[in-house]
Amino acid sequence: MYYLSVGVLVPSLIGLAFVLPLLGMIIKNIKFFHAYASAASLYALVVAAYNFSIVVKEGVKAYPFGGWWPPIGISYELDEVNSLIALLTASVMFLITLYSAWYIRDLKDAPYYYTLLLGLEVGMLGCIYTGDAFNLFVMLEVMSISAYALVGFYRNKPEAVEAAIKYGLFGAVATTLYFIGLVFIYASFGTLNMADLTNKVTLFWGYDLVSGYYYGQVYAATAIALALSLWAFTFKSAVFPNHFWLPDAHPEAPTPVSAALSGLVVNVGVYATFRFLYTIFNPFSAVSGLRDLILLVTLVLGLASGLIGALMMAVQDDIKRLLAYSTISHIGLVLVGLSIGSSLLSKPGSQAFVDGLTGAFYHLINHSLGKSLLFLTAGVIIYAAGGTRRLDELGGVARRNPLLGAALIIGVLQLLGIPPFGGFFSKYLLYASYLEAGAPYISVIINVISAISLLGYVRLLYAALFTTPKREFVRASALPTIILLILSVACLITGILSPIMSEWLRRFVEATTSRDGILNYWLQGYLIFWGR
Amino acid sequence: MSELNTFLFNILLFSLFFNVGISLYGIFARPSLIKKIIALTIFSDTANVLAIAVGYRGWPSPSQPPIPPVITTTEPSIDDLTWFARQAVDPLPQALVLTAIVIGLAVTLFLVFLTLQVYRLYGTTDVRRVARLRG
Amino acid sequence: MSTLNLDPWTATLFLSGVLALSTLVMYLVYITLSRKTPQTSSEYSEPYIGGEPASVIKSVDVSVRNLFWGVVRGAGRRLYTFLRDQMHNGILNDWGVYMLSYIGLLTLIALIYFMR
Repeated sequence: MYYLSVGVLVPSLIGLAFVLPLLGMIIKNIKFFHAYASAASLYALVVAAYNFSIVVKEGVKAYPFGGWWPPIGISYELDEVNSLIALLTASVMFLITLYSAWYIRDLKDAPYYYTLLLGLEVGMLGCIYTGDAFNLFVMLEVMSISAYALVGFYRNKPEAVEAAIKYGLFGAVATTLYFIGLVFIYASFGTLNMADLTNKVTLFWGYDLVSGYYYGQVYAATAIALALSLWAFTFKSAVFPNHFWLPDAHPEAPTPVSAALSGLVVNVGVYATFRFLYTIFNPFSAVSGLRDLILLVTLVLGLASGLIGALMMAVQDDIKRLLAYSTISHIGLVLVGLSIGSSLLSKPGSQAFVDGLTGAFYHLINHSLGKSLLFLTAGVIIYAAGGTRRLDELGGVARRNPLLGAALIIGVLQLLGIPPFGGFFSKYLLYASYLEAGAPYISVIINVISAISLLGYVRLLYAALFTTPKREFVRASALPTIILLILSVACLITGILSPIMSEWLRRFVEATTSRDGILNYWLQGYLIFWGR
Repeated sequence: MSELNTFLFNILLFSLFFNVGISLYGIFARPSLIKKIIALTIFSDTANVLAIAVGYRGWPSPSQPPIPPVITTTEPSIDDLTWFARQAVDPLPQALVLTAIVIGLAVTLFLVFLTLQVYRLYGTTDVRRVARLRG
Repeated sequence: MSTLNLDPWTATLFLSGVLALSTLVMYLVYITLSRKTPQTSSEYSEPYIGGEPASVIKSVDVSVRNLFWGVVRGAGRRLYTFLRDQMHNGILNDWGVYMLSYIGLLTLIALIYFMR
């Protein structure tokens, strides 16, 4: 029952991160910090992969901290979906940390940079692993503070500071709103443990010896809590009305951080939305009417942010800003996939339901790989072009360096959804699920979004590949090229192995969102400790 | 007496929600970054007081007010514990608020530093003029 | 004659494999048949655009800014004026209007659900 590897990862990684500034006072050799951070994130990758393997083999696993059994103490709980997203996060973060060793090779502030980068990884893994709603708040803050500080890392650059304060100010509002939502949940349910909340909302058993029964106006409190937490989660994942900070913040960060923010941090908001709307306030629960309304809102907002991201991509002059708008568009598509669970569209467990969720998670994975690849490629391109980010001045960089050009094309094809890359199959699943659900208009809009985003990608390809090189470019070293190669191969694998991968994902989604799966989440995360 | 209690408690709750409204107005509509940060601290403090108020339990009787969640005897008997559980306020919201205060401190400090840096680089803290990133 | 029955999924993978293979074959044919030495002619060394020599015009390529000129400055002019100059204008307080109306919408939904 005690799975130490589930619980040990996040605290030990926090320790590894916070030792760094102290070490920075003693050790002056920057190479040490590159090696240290890479080793730390390799450790995270190994543990995350191990956790994923035991979850796939043996089912849901939980770990109660300090021996305090849920719902008294904080517990971490892993099922198929969140262990998979954690594995994705850890592996992409490992590549990004390796890339950082090249990108900031001469920076004196390397210990602080790596503290923040590892802090970002800890925050993301904590958000994904946690089985406690308040711990989710704490981990969101850990992740967010690291992200604000990394965005404003070049503190003498006006644009970076401006982007950081815009992100930080509204980000603090978002997390505080989530905290108020938690207060409402605690006031009416008497618990913050996700497994216990699932039980109380779904009425598996209802009463609990420790957290008692329900208090006050449960329905009103649930409605307000869901509204507030949804606002916070859509802020973290930058969905339409809350997306304004993203195109400022992501380009101004150092490039590896842009890749982490755009590829991984936005996933956390999507995952938290999934956890709230499919596990805690699940389709079988007593508040399914509220769920339908909320999912209708996310559907409309997902489509709107897909359209706005794609439209704004077509007029960008800055390579990183263009990629940031593409993130908004893709997260919108993922959210559209998540919205399939509304009972107006599909029944739980039906073909459309499973297809839509599978498509959403498959698109999440594809987008993470493709967007990190593109941002890391953009970093090398900017370096080769002498530090400029303006598309006009890139002038055919990728022509002089065929590997760079290949990475760029693969990343664009992955995001655009051209077979045989994974992006095609995930968009196909989203498309097919809405056809199956009897809403062909939404399928058409998904295609229109892809078509409009083509304008932006053509701009990128044109600037980097099809213009005449006017001057000599600096050549990048081998390390970033190898990392780009690895990510390109990963993009290709998500496409070529798509029949197998989508079948796996379908199994994971079915295991997590079926009634038995939700019951199992409760049993494994809560009751099993008391039954011993 | 209990009517007066309910009345006072309702005034507390109403003023908290009124405070949320005022601070949201301050964050979203005031042009100065410093005023926005002040409104943000008001906002997070309001959230914290709301959490504390949730842990409050109505007074059992006017002569027996609720006690702080601290057991004063070193080896409590079952009777002590029963009495304690009946009288003490809920300790969990206080733990939550402690965490939230610490996090809020870090965020506020960081935002103030950024505002200082904005003032150094832009010469103003008016958000209508701190708008170099657009489009 | 036997028929090959594939689901759309496998068919896409199969077709893109065939396309990649045929592209490779065409590229190999192109490489073997193409001229090894570039053909030069004095007429092409000086490009003329609209009667002016190329030196008058700064760049040989179209600027990235001017791609989709028709869409951005023609048909979609009003849309892009709204999106770029009014919505994404970089002013914090103007974003707040959209964000606050979103949270207002969510609270409204919560209230509607509660009143029902």
